[in-house]
Amino acid sequence: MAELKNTKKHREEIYTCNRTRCGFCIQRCPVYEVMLLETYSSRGRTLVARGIMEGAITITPEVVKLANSCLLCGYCEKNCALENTTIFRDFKEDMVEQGLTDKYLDDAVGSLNEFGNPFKQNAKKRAIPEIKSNPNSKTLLFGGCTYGLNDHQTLIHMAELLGDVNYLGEEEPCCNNLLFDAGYIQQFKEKKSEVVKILKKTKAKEIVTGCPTCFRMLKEEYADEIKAEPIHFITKLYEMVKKGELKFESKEPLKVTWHDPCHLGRFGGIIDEPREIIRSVKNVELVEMENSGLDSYCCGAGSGLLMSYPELAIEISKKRIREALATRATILLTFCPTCEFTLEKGGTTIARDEIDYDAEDFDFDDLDKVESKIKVFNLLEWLVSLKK
Amino acid sequence: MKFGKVTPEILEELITAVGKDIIFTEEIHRMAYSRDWSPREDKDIHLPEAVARPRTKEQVAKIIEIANKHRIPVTPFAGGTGMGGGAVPLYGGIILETKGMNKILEVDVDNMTATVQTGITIWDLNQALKQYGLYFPQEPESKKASTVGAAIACNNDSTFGIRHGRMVDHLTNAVIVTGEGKIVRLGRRKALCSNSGYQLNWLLVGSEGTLGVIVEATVKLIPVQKTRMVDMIVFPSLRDAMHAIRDIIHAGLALESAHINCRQRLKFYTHSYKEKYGHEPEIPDWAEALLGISFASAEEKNKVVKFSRDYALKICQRNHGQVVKEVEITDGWWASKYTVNFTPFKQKWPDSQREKKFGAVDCGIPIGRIEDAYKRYLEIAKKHGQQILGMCVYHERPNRLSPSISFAVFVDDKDPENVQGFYKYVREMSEMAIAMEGTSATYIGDSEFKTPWIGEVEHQEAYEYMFKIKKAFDPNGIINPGKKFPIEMFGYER
Repeated sequence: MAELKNTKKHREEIYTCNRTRCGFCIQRCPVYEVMLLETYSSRGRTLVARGIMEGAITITPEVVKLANSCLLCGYCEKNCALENTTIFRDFKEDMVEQGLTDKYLDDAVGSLNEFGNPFKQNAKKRAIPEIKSNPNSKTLLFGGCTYGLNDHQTLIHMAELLGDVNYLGEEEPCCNNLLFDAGYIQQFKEKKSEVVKILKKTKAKEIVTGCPTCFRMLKEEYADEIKAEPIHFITKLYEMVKKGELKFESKEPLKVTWHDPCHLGRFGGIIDEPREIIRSVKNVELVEMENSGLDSYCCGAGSGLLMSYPELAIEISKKRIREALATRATILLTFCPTCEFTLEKGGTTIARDEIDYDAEDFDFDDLDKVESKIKVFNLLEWLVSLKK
Repeated sequence: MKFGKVTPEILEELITAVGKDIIFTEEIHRMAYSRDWSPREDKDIHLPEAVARPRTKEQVAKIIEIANKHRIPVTPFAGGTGMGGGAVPLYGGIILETKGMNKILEVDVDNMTATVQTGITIWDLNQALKQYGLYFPQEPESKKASTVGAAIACNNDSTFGIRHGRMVDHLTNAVIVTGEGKIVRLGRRKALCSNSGYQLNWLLVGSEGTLGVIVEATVKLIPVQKTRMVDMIVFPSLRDAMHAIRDIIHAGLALESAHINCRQRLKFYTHSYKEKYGHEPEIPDWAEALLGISFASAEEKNKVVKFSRDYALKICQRNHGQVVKEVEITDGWWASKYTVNFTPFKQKWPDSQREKKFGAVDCGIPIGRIEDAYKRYLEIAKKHGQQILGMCVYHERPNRLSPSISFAVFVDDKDPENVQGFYKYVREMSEMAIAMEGTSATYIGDSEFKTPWIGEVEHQEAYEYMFKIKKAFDPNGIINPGKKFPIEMFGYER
């Protein structure tokens, strides 16, 4: 009989789910809604886990795929008394411990070991000369791999507003969420101590990051050991707006909507702050999507899905974009590098899907020029653009 | 004769007919469709041989045509929240996942009807209807998983039954795929009543997917309700609570919902209260019945609702009722029955079932005998070792006392003997209901557990005519076998 050592810890929870089968986890499970099979819903996953534990079915490559296809977005957990994301993370760990891994995730893990980030990029790219780093600052600006390697502008703007910050640049470690959420827990534990060592060396009392995933990891997995308070930049921005230090105005009347990143809203509890910031902008109306706040819908990239099953991830992001389009807003705001990237992809994919390839004036160059019907913006970048 | 198996050749035939993105045979998928919400032992699992998830009625027809040719069972699957094993593939074969057919085909605003592919969930349909200001008033608690097709097949309870009725009142026509793979429309298109021919659409209501796979349906809608008032009232007896509902209806008030909970069942709705005050609410010793009622209107701030509610509360007081002052209890009940905001569900669904499983028998009892039935329920449950969970009386026909009753118990599903005790409990309760001139089933149906004896216990000579109807739609008995009719009646061996 196959071993599910970690999942077995949740045997009672799994049986309770099977006893209940209320089906509240089917609605709005992003993966279920694309696959349309019970298997991919929370209750389907627990039934599969039970089947393996009882020996009714065996671990096949499909089981591994099933394990990796959970976004850990937490929507089902919000609608349930059971700790679904913990169960499914442990289920992933069981697969990894038996060497049953996804090659694309393995690749990203390899990159983490070699380059210190999941994207095979040179750590030197984290250096941002525009940010005047003060090693003695009480505020550590934690860039995160995605902003730090690819989107310096957001970090520069964050640093400007924060004032005195310590930015580690090349020395900054990855938060290792990929290891954690993809079930490479043993490797995560090893990496964790390295991260703690680096962060402890700083004089920081607070660690400010713009990445909700880094924020959640710092808060839930590192905070106890580093003795500095992890803060998402939105909280800082909110305080500045609240005090009247920052005021924004749109020249044109604008309708915008806000996408709650799972790690920021549902897990981080930061739901009202971004909305208050947006509402403070003159001439701007905030409209909500069908699923918002605690009920927000994942962008599609949770726990590395964009790496392991990109087609599935993009289908999910398209659903989210359609929700945004339904609000008739022209701008979709968020504050998460992964959400920004994935939603942008979803938006352009929809636009691409709509190209009429049979049209007489069809031109292959059009494929590169397509733009999402709704513009996806980082909240801070958008605010800065209003000032121009 | 035995049922056919899904051999590699037949699998190839299925895939050729409908495509490989519709047919799944991996173990994980078969496992995920091996159960519904019914109480059963651990070892009592039924893996289908294949899962089909068609997107169109034509695909359903092709799948069933092939299954019929090879005598392979086809079990329709929708919300999976059934409590009687209705969606369990007892004899293997093909699970037909209907939730892939989830499109709204038409919303006719003038006629107030929606035509849908039946795999859409009730919740999703209502979300989509909001933009038209319309609402589909079939309200089972499982609405987030339960589909329109499942609501027709299982004729599930609706919170608003006493005002708007349930599926038999909503359904104007449905398209089914018969056991021979033929696509047939039953019922009148959008006419709300008809005397032409037989009203075969009504035959589908409560058919438990045994006449064919229901693939499309047209249902009646009402306007979105904009004013609503909800109250709970305790009564010294079930009889008083019943009389209060009767008097409210007879006074000319349009009750939207009316549910009676026995004393034990109240424990399901106290979660919010407990969270706020740190202890269970004090229920008066004399209180034996807890009535929940609501009034609603499509108008904003409607005064009729307020008037009706105040008048109804006076009627309740006249029948010895006392209004529940703790808002949290009323909110807890209402959240469970309608808004499905989560807090009470923590208590009601997963948390209440950490040790034992919710199980129920759904007898319909004539209104004058409910107190007797309640006493017998306590005795019969005890006799079969079932822990009492409580009784809940719904009313399911517009403007009438029309009890659909859940006699619920906690089944110890870790103990095979206790599970068997539950099945015995179901039978004895059913026999009691029939002896009281009622019926064995009002919202769960015959499903798996009652089927072996239901002809003899409830239907007698009528059962033969029912079987003729079944054969007219499904001559080889391949659609949801083992439900309503034992497979032996078709000459199959186990």
